[in-house]
Amino acid sequence: MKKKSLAILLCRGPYASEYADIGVGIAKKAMEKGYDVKMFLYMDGVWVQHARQSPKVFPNVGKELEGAISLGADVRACERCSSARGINEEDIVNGGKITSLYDFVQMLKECDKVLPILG
Amino acid sequence: MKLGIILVKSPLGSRKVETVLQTASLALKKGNSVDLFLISDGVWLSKIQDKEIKALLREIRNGGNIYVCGASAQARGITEETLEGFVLSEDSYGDLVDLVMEKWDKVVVC
Repeated sequence: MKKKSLAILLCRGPYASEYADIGVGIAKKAMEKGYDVKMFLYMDGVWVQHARQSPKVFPNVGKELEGAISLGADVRACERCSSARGINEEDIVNGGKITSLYDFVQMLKECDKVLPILG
Repeated sequence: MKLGIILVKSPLGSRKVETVLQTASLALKKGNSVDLFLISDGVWLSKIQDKEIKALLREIRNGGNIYVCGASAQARGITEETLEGFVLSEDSYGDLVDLVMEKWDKVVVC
């Protein structure tokens, strides 16, 4: 049987609110539970896949995201939002991708459930 | 239809949460079922004494569950004994995944 799939749209950056932690936490847990997870980072959400995050007190969202990717989550970020914030291919975590918003449309068409985290 | 609402925002500071609860109440009246999941600052909703908000919560509870993230509640000093009428979720991300994937038809996050 085909695995049920979840598409998560994340539009919030980390460390100002818990939206990013919740999105990444759900992505990781859904992978562990055997679902297929696709995540699209949009607007300030693109900060989540920045490679060199080093928060002093908060949990490192980038590392959590890398964990989700290593479990098989498909994570993509909006190219325009990333370049606007100076985030290029060399700045993102292993396995992350910078692609186009059209990929999000494709994710919506293919997934069973959508979790929009707009904040 | 089964609607799931994940509340992340505090009910204080703006009227966004109140608007979401009113929307939930309308969804109930139109024959849908509604669950709330309180997480992060959203768990403060369990402490609100405002009469109108409490009435809305009672309505929602009649047609569904109001879950509270255990870790978020604990971090804010909200103990299980004070959460009468709420469903405490110990494995919050695990429970959220089950609700989003298997129980709810649509999800809203605020």
